[in-house]
Amino acid sequence: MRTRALVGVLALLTLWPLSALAKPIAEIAGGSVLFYNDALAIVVRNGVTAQLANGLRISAATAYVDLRGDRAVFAGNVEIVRGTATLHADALALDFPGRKVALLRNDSGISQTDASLTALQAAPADGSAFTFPDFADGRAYIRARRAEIVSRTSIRFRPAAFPTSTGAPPVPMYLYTFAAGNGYAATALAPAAFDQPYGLVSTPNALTALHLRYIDGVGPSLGIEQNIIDNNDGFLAGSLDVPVHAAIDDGLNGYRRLGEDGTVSLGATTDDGYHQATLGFTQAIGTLVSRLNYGITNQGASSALLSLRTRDHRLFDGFTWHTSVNFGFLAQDGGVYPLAPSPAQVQTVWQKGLDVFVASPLVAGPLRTSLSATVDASRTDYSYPHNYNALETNVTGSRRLSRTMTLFFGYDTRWSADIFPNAQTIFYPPLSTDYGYAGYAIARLANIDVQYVQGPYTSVRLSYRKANDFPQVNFFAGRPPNEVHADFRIRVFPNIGFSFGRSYDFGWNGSRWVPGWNFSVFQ
Amino acid sequence: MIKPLAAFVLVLAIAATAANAQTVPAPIAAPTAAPTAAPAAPTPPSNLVTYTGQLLDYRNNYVYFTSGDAFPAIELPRIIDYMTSQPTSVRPQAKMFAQATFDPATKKIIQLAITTRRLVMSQTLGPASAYVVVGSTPVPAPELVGQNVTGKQVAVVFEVTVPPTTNFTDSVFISTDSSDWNPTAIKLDRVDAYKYRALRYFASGTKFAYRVTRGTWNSVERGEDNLDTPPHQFFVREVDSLAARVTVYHWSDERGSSLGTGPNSIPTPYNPSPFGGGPGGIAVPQIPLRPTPPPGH
Repeated sequence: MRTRALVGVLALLTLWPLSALAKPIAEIAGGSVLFYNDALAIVVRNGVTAQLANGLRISAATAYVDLRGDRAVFAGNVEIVRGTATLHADALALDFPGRKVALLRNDSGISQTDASLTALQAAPADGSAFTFPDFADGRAYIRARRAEIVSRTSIRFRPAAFPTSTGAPPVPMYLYTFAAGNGYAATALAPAAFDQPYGLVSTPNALTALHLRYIDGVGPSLGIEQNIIDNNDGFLAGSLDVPVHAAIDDGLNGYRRLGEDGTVSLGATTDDGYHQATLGFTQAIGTLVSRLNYGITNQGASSALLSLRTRDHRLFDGFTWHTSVNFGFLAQDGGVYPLAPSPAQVQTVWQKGLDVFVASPLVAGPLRTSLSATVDASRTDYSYPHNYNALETNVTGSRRLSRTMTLFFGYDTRWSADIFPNAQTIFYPPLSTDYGYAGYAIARLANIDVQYVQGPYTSVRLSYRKANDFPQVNFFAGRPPNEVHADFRIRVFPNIGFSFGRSYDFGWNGSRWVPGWNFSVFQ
Repeated sequence: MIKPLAAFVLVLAIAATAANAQTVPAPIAAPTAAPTAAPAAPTPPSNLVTYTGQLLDYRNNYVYFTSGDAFPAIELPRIIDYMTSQPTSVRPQAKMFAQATFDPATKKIIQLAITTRRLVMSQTLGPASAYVVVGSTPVPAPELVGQNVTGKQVAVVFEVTVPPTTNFTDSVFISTDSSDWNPTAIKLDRVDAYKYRALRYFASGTKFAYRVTRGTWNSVERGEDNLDTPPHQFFVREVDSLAARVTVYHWSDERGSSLGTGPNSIPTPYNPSPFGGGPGGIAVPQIPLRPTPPPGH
C-alpha cells in the first residue's frame, strides 16, 4: 500500500501543470492557416495578423513561418506596429525574438531594423531571409484559423481540421509538438493496441497530454501523462491510466544523463495491486559497459545486479563476439525458494554469472538466400546450491522472391537447465500430469514471413509462427502453439497513412483461437 | 496581389541563394572590365555605371543576376544586342549574359545589352552597389553554401543495421522530431537478418532529427558504449537521392547479452509469468517469484 501511495504521489507531482507557464512567442491568425508537418512550417493566406511576444503587431496579405528556425516572412501590404511606431513594406522578414527585422520595398529595396522599429537603415541584406516556399495547399496536414507558437517547442491550432484525413473530425484545439528533445515522447504508460496522444499544454520543458487508448483484453482507456524534459539530457514522465472496466494504473519513468559516460534511470509502475520500482545506472568504462540495476516490489521481493559487458569484437571472417559477467543478489520475504526444506532461512541468495554471445556475418546461401546465425551461452551460480544454464541458437534467413516480395524464415532454439544439485526432486518434484518437467526446458520457435512492399507507403506482411516448447504452457505468459499475423500499411492521403495489424493465436489459454489487433496512424 | 508578391520574394530568395555559390571575397575591381577575348562591348552613354553578369531572371522591372544581385529597371529599358549595339526584339532570358547600364537620376537600369556569348562578369558590385536592391548574401547559411535549394522532392533511403541480439519478430521504426517523436512514425521494411530499410520523400532544404526505435521509447537505439545517443541530424540537399545510414549497437531494453535471459525468462509450470522489463528501457534484474505448483501436483 505504501509503495502504491508513493508511486501515486510521485506521478501526481509530475502532473503539476508546469505547462501553464507556457507563453507563446507569436500568435498568428488568418483566413487560412496551413500547417505542413514534414517541413515544420505554416503558411497563412487570405489576410494575416500576428501578435508577437515582444509587442510587435503585424498585418499582411500572406505569411510563411519556419517553426524550426523561429522566423517568418510576411508579404503583401505589410504593416508592422509597435507602440506609436509604424512601418509599411511589401515584404517583411524577421526572427521572432525581434533581433533582426528586414523590410523589402519595391521602390527602395531592403532596409533593416530591430524590434524597436527605429533606426531603419538601408542594407543589402541576405535575400534568403525572404524565402517563401511554394507549398501546395493540398499537402497541408492541418488547416486552422489561428496558431499559437511556443518557440522551438509546439504550436497550437484553433480550431484544427485535418484536410488530408477524412476520418479525423475537426477539433476545437490541437497541440503539435516539435521539440528537439525526444523526452517529450517518453512514456510511463503500459503498451496498448491503440494509443493516440492529444496534447493539452506544453512549454519548452514540459508537456501535458491526454492519451486515448484501447488495451487488448481490458478495453477503452483514458490516460493522462506529464513529461518534464531537459533537452536530450533527461526526462521525467508520470502517467495515470484509467481503463473503463479495470483498476487504475499509474507509472513513473525517468532518465538523466550523468556526464559523458553515465546515465541513471528510474521507473515505477502499479498494476492491479502489483507494484514495482526500479533504479538503474549505466557507466561506460573504457571499452566496457557497466550496469547496476536495482528492483523492488510490494510482494517483498528485491534484487540487484551489477553487470559488465564487453563491446562486440571481431572473431574471424566477419564473426563477432561479446561476453558479460554479472554479480548480484535476489531477496524475498519468506524465502527465495518456497519449496526448500527451510525456506525462511534462504531469504537472500547471491548470484554470479557469465554469458558469451557469438554472431555470424550474413552469408549467401543456396537458392539466392542469405543466412545468419547467433549462439548465446550462459551460466549463473547461486550461493544456495543451484545453477542455471542456458544455450540459445538462432538461424535467420531471407530470400528475395521478386522486386517487391521477400521471404523470411527463422528458427530459434533455447535450452535451459535449472539445477539444484542433490535436491532436484525437491524443487522439481515428479509430476502426475503429462508435463514430466524436472527443470530442463526447451523452447523452439519457427517463423516464416512473406513481405510485400510496393512503394514507400504500402506494404503487407504475413507471418506464421510455430512454437514447440517443453513444457508447453498454454496460459499466462506461455507461447501459443500457432500464431498467424497480418500487417497492412497503406497511405491513402498525402500526409496520413494507416497501419493495421490482425493476429490469431491458436490453441492457447483454452480457446480455439484468440484474435488480437493493433492500429496506428502514421504521417 | 498575393501571388505576384509571393513569386517576387521567392525569386529574390532564389537569386540570393544562387549567390551563395559564387560570393567570394575579392579585391575591389572595376565594375566592368571588357574582356580581351570577348566581343567588343557596345558603347554605353558616357560616365554611367555598368554591371556585367549572367541573367537569372527579368521580371516586374527587376533584373536578377546569378551572382545574387538584383537591380530595378525603368518601365521600358533599352534592350540592345551586345555584339551590334543595335536594338533587338530578343527578350532577356535566364542564362544570357548582360551588361546593365544605370541611370544615376532614377537609380534604375536604362539599358540592357544582352548576348548568349560568355562575358567576363563583374567580380564585385563596385559603384553598382548604389543601385542594387538585393545584394549577395554576406554570410550564407552553411548548409546552403554552394547549393540552390528549390524544395524539390528528394528520395531519402533510411538503412538501419541492427545488433544480432535483435529478435527475428521485431519491427524497427524511425522516429523524427517533425512527427512529434512518434516512436512508430516510419516503419522500416526488413531486408535481411541485420538490415532494415525504408524510402521516404522530403523537400530539399528540409532538416530533421531522428532516432531508431523498436516501436516504443522503452526500446530505443543506444550507442556502442550502451549509452543514449543524441538524435541523428539530417539535411536534405538538392540532389536526387540521399541515404541515411545508422548502425544500432544496442537496444535500451537489452538484458545481459540478449533481450531476455535468466531462470525466469521461460514460462514453466512453476513460474508461468516471467518478471517483465520495467519502464524506460530499464533492464530489470530477475526477481524470484513464488513458484506456482502446476495443475495436478
